[in-house]
Amino acid sequence: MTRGQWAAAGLVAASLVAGSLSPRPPLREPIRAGGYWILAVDFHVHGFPGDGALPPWLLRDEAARAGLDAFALTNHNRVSTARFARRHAGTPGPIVIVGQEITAQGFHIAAAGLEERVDWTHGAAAAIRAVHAQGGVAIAAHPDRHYTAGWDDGAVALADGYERAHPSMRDPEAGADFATFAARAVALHPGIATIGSSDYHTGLSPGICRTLVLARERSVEGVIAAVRDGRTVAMDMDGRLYGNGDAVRLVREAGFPPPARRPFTPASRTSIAAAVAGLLLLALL
Amino acid sequence: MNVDVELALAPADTFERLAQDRAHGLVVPLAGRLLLALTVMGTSVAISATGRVGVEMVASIAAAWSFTLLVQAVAAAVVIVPARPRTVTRLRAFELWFQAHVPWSLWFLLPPLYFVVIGRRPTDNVVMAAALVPMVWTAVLMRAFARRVLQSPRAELVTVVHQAVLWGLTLCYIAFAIGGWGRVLNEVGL
Repeated sequence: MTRGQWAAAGLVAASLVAGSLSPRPPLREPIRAGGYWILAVDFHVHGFPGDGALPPWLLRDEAARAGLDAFALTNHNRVSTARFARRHAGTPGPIVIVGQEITAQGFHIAAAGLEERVDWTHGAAAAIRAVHAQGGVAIAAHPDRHYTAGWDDGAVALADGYERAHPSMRDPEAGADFATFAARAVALHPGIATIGSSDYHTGLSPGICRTLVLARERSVEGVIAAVRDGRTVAMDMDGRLYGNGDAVRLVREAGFPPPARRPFTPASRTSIAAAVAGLLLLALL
Repeated sequence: MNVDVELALAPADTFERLAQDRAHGLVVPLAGRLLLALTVMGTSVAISATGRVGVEMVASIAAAWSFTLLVQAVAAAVVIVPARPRTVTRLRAFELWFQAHVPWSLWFLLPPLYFVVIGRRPTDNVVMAAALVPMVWTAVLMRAFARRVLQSPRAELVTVVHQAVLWGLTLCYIAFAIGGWGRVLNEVGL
């Protein structure tokens, strides 16, 4: 290696060490109001191995930084990554819920509270029944026009929740589709849970859209029971709330903060710039 | 000019010169190139996924995604191992092939550079579409590698086999990751 390459390698190493030393935000204390824990939950998160970028142990750290109390790891048509994440969730931090994004042509379901993989080949209603048989909840995932052909009325009536807040709603067409599905879901299943999810793979933070769950206990069972009973409020990227009036009022009175965009501090920006510059120099010098 | 850049810009002549310079492989330079590739990948994914870098994070992501280098190694082995006329050892051939990292290194590093300079990320669609550049560029590099390092009289066929193995394995992972082959076919409109 040349002297310049050693210098570039040193720059990369120093930037990574500096990044590691930057202070991390403390865990947020859960909020209690109206006799419930108001828990911030993301029911739709992807990890590695799968099409998510982060391995499970880093995902949990990201969820904590995003101020989440719990998240469901919902890889496409498998639960192994989520079970691994739950098994290794030792330190204090967000609750890991085992889930699966049941992925089939015409419908996607974010299922949470599972133990075993759910078959996706027999239609949405059959998949939801299989989720219920395991004690889990089934949430209609990103119900825009690309993912609703498989949702017949029977399946919608069986669903425990539907995503009302999702990053793809920034597209006005998708936003209109979400609203249409919401009206249909409420008509077919009054009391259905309103869910906000990030569908995090990479890029935007987990919890950038989130669900505020009114739980009787801070546990997987408490979260699942609240969804089943419709005690949820969806929060979108701008902090807008969706759900039944009483629940929304409770959340609003509790002063729940809107999802924070990632704070890019001068320090983090500097360490990123130094790492990228060092690697470019190392690769190209 | 850095020899890796030279290799990317003038692959035929550079591969030939490097193969003539040394026929026997060395573990340390090969390990160095693999470490560089892992660090580039880990750093780029860390920035894209979290907006931060750190030792543990980059190491974790690099370890998790290191299987992509294994895929590269398997695809390379399929064409390197049976190549009889080559004048360099297998280890040297691997060393030279992993020296051809510049197209993918740039693909990994330019989006974070854009982010640092402009202040926002390029969209996923732009990043994915931009992957066509290193895909084609690497195929061109493989053709030169097959001709000048493997001494193959059928360099085009070697390139096709290499690309088929590489992208076949990649597609298998994509199918695993996004919910099965049915969805892969659906996404490509079949």
